[in-house]
Amino acid sequence: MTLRPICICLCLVVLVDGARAQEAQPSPMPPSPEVSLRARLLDFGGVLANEGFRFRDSTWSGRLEAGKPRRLAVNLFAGNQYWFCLAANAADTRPAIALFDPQGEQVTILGHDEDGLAAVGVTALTTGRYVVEIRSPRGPSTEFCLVYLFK
Amino acid sequence: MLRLILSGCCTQNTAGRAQTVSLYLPVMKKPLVLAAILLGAPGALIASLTSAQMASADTVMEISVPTPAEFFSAIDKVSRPDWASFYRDPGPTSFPTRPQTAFHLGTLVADGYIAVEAQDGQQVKNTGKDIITLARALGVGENVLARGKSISDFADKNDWFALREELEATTNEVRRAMIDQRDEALASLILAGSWTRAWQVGGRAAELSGDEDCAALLGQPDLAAVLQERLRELPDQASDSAILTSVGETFGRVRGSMTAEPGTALNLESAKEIHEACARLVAQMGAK
Repeated sequence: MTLRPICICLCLVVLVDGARAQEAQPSPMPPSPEVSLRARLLDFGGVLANEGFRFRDSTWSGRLEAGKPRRLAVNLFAGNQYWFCLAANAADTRPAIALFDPQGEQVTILGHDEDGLAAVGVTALTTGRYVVEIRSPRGPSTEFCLVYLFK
Repeated sequence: MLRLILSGCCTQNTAGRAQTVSLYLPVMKKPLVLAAILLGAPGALIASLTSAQMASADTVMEISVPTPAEFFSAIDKVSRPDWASFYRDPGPTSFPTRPQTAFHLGTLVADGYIAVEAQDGQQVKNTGKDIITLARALGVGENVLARGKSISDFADKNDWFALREELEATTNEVRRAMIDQRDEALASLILAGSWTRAWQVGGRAAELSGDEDCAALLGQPDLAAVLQERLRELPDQASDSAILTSVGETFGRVRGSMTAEPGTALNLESAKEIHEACARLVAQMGAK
């Protein structure tokens, strides 16, 4: 009988400590913009991967301001098919993406675009240094991430 | 259905008319609308860039520099070479200097891609083991041990797609570890080794096929310039080795051979020059 209050006290202490320990655990950090954008691109590009396109391991990421295009040089090989996929995280952003051949002429391509995502696919006709241009026509500046696939 | 449409998407549209293509994705159970981005269409970007705009484009080594897998994939479409004929006898797995080790590690990465093209799991595993051994010699073996196991697992499963990605990821991890150790020179030499071996094999493949289209795939003077420039930019203390000079000189020669006359494509003679210059460098760097 005399032990009962002691047991109750011990149980209470354990419960309170447990609750404190739970409170003390850091809440999971939200993923960085690059990580979440990359995850979106991997999700989108999964369909292409099922069609035999292979992801490049690395991405190009940074900040994109409205009306200020950014350009990346890439080396493509004649006969290969490529998809360039771009994701941006600002709401109401419709990023655009274009590809220019080694002579600086825009390559006519088919693509896909939706809120925060754009993709273009092309078969390279010549081997050489191409330039990918990305831009956000309007809206706030945004983080972006670009990945490409080839086959 | 997806296969048909995706194949069509990647062809040039010469009709100049706006198109909308709908894809039905069985896995995602939702339609994905592919809208054509055509010259002059609403929202389309400008139709050409000036040479200054082209030149000022960012170069991000990890993505601007392609993998040898892309090069080999293009060669395979043109000439379907016997990839196994490009295997080398097993070479040494220790070298007197770290730059030589890094360069040789790069050549092994290209060998890995060759074995993948040949769909030879055992050769991929052997090459993967040698890559890990050299990574250890550079002090970054721990970073890629798991990758070595993945390469072996994927090779057992004949998963060639995954192997290509794993080889690139392994290379990137070794390079990042080198850069973390402030050893950019070694990181650059890994890329240089990888592309020297790739050009050696690509040049030989063009020679053997006798196909000018295959030779034209070696028209990569801009890529050679990027790699050469990166070696030039290294700090002076990294240039203590004659190795960097030797690699830089070869890249200069190769770059010249890769530059065709305006309006013409690279020919088989140039492919031979590239093959021979790269073969000499690989042999020189592989000597103990």
